[in-house]
Amino acid sequence: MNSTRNKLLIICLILACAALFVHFIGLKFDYLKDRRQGHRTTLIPSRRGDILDRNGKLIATSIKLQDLYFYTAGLSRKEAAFVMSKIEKVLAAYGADKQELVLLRRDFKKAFARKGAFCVIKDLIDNSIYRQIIDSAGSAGGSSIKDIRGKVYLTDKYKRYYPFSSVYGTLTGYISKQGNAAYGIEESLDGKLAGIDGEMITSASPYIKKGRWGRTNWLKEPQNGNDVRLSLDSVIQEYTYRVLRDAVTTHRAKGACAIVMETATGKVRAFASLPSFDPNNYFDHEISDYMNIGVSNLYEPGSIMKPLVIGFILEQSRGGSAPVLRKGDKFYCENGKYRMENGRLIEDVEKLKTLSVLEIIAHSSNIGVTKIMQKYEAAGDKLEFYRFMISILNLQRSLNVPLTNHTKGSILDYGKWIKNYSMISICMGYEVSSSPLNFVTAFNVIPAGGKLLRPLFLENEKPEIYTKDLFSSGTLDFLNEALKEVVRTGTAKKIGGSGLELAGKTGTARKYDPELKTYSKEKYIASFIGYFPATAPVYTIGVFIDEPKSRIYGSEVAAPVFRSIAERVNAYYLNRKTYYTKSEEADER
Amino acid sequence: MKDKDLTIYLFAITLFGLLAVFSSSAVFSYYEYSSKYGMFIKQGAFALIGWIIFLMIRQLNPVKVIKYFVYPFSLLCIASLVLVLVKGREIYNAKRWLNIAGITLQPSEFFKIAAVMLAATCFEKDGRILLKNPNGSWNPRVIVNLLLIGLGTGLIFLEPDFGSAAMIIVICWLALFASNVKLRYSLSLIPVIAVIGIVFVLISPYRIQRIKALLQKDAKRESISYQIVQSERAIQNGKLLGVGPGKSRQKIFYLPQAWSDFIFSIIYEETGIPGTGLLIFLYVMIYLRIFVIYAGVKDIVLKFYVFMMGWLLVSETLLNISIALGAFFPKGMALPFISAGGSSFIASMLGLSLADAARERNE
Repeated sequence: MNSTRNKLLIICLILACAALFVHFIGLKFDYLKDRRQGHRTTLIPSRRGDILDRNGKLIATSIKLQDLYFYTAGLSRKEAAFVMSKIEKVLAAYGADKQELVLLRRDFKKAFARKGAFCVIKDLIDNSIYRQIIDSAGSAGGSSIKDIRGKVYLTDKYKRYYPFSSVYGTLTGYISKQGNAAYGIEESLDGKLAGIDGEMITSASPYIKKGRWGRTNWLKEPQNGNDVRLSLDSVIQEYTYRVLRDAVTTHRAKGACAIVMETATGKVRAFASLPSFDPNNYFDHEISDYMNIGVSNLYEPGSIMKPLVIGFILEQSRGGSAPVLRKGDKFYCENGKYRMENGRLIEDVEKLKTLSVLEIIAHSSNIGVTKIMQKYEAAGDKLEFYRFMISILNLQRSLNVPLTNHTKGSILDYGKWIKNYSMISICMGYEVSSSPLNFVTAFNVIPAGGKLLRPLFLENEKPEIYTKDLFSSGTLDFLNEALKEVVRTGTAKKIGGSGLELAGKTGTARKYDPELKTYSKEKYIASFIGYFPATAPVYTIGVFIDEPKSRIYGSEVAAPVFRSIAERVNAYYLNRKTYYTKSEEADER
Repeated sequence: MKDKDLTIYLFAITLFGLLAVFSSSAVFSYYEYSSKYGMFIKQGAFALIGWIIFLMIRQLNPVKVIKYFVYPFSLLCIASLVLVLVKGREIYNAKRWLNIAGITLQPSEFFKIAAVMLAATCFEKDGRILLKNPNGSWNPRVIVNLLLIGLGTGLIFLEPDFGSAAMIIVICWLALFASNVKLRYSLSLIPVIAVIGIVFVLISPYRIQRIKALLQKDAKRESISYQIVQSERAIQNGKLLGVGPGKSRQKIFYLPQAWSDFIFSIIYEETGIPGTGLLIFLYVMIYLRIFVIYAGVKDIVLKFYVFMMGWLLVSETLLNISIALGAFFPKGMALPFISAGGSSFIASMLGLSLADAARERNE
């Protein structure tokens, strides 16, 4: 190799590098100054899914609204003031008052000073205002604003709207102003309802403008949320809510809740609770109003436990050689007052003499039940009873309901049971607590033929059976007969005789007062759980009135609400159903 | 004993390149592959392949490798260059890429290495080229080699890839100039090459435009040469210290090929003088190592091979940086070891592995 020429080449290389360095040092970018370069990503909101009732009626929906913005950057003072005057003119024509315009002008000055945007109008439904502003500001003579649409523009947004306002309030929850789901179905099914917001890139780059990549300038397309179809029925729900509200007003109650469940499937057709709130104006209410007391509050059930407990004892007695309880057994009810050996006083509302088991249920005799329970405690399996209570009230099972703050409840721990005391309390519905939804679910075992069903809130869910054959058909028939007797001659006879076959059980429970550390003598829970038509049950309905003031008994406060709902549902649905069935048959022919 | 320093610097520059590719391609990948790692992972795989080739081939005897593989390798490259013209992927009006089993290859990058091998084997032990044997007959090896180089370069011209073809011619000329061949031969070639170059510039208007753009320093320039202006904007935006890793604005669809041809601008925009300084330091160290190897090699074919390989990488680097800085008209030219693209990286590693092996032969 020739070393001289090699050296020459290396010198050339070094010179080239030096030249490049000099070029770099001398780089001037003056010619780039007059053109700005930048990009903006815009969030494109996704639409949240609707909440529908079983018939497709809108319970919650999202409405597309627009905000009108004025982007002042890039405009001279004169141009900006010109556009602003046009905006003010159009707004004044649409009836904006002076004070609004003053505020707007203040926003404009601020925005112009920082070369930013400000919102002219919020929540536009109709964008004719926008078109007028564009037309008047864009077409004016002498205006040098080329791209008025880039300066005055609309941004999309969705606003949640609840057509039924407070009827479904505690059930749906609400969407906050910041767009977050809070309480109820909105929160628990947020994963399904919420969409994914999209992103759009706006850029001066010709590569974007040309769509060089063969696509629109989406960075991410918005994905709308899915609709949710509930099992609830707006007709029943609205009526239930109204009747309940009237009852709360009449009895000056603290709260109330009513649940209508389809007996055979466990589908909830109505779920009203009070206090409620209007999710459209959620901020006008207190936090306590957002709670759905049907799932979030714990109550001791009182007498509505009696048929379930007696059913259990009858079931335990079946087949044994020396049964604890036979259907035909009779008990002396001590004329309304019975002092137990340990000194505890048990009282009945009515002064009752000797009653059969069926009559004990019908008249809700505490003394009768106490005597049955004393017999069972002496001879039966206590632990089995404990397990039964936990199972039927779903105390250790999540019901997977799409509602927030569902509380399972509890029962006095087996190890803490006091002899001749705790079991008697439990069978009268004390020392055990759960939410109204759990009580209705448990009570539904009787009309549903011994099946413990999961309460369903979605229309397309398949019925789920937790436990089969809790009661045998013999026991079920007996309980059914007893519950019919409650309405016919027993505690709830006031609601009988309407021609509807009703069955159910009243309950009146004293509330535990944590301040007094004992059961209050003023605060009660009045309840009624029943079903109809009694011979072939279709709907199970539970009504709970919290702290009624004028009257306290379940038979007087809750039972009429039950009957009212039942009448309506019967008139609206059961009659119509037969009509529909007939016409469908005709169609098939 | 392999050259430890070369390996270390190469490894450092590979990592630097991967980071640069990740940063500059993230937005594009997110848009195109819906994952910001799309191109980064691809480049990582190429880097791995390149390194495996580098570590394997440098174990071999370079004299034998060049002797036995120069023709199969060259013929393979020429065959794929033909294939590119027949059924290559057309991007930006040029057919340069070949799609084999989902991997896009650029055969011209490999042909550069083949051309270097072919040219190196032309030289005799005394550093001359014998066109004719002492008995007067043509020297078949030189004739065949020159024909193959001409054929391959011609095919690259047809793609068209003016830059790569010109690069091969220039590198061959440099070897001729630095050899012991009489000066008048190499000098007499300059007008020939110049005339060919001018003709090629004149027959295609876009090349004239690009040269014009270099001289036009005003707002009109953008309409003539969008890429250069965007590249300069990147450098302007980077100021002295850069805007910070990952914060480049120009990579967001302003600067085309921000991850390959114009990656230097993005590196400058994000890391400023410190980052580009480190990169240039790595380049200088690598090329110095190559120079050290070159100085020590005794075998004449290997010496010319290392010489041309070194000049190839140096000129590509210099040219790419010049283009990014707006000192040269834009050409599709990869920045060695840094730019995204498997062919360029693997070819460079392949070329360097033989150079590294040549050093061992020497000691």
